[in-house]
Amino acid sequence: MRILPSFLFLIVATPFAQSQAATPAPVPCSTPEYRQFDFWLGDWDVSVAGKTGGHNHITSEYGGCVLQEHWTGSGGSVGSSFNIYDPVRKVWHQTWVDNGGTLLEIEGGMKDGSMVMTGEQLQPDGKKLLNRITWTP
Amino acid sequence: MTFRALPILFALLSPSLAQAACADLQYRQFDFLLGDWNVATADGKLVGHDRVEKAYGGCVVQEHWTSVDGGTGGSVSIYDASRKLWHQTWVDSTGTLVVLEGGPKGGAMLMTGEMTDGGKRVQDRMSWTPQGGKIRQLWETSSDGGKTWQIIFDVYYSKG
Repeated sequence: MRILPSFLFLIVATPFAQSQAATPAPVPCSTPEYRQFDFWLGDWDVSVAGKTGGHNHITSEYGGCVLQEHWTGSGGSVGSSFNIYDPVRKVWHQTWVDNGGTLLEIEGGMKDGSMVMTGEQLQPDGKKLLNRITWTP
Repeated sequence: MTFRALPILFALLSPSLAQAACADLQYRQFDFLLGDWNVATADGKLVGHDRVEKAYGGCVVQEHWTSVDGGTGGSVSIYDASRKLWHQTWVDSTGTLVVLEGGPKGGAMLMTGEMTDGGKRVQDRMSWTPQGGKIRQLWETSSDGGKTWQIIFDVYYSKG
């Protein structure tokens, strides 16, 4: 006999719980900025001047907070990057690493429909190299 | 995206350099973190599982974290031969981005950096210290420019 009242309570309580859930529960990475780079998601063949350069697989990871790049070059290079939006500095960040020992950190954001990120890199000869990478749909 | 062709061209043009990538001893300095680990507090409460592997031709220490509360995160750590330091970038399912740099010191790996937390920038100080068969990871943050430090994560890695 105790089951019935509990059951009724659940029915009554459910719509209320749903309306509560709709109020601002802080879901991480749910603002529109986190979706700005989603045009990059997918399996891509990458060509350089018409020739096959490699394959790139971009996945959404860590609860939709991160775009992860998985690069396989036709010349044997493999690499990966994390891409994440920083809401305090209002910038996109990418950290790239690969099997050549490359570390590249670039930051930026959307500009005229493109994702543009820049960052400095110290070369083995001690000179600084400024990188700018643009992704344009 | 043509940028991605640069390493290929570079490798083709400099085969000797390509063969030597990440072969130096410095690239092994963080290998003590490799493995499948149960991660628990000092009093033995399990907080998560961490799988750490060598990836990308042995150049990168890659971490795959799963918290007992369902959170996930990952990091890549790499020795930067140009600047002679270790770099780690950490991201997770709460939107955290932590960028750390440092190196080995007295048997431990120490890295410092900054992150965005709770709507502001804070400094981070992270250490991984082998202790017996375990590794202690201590993560401290400072929001006053390094005058005071608060422990936000103090855990012990043991093999699962």
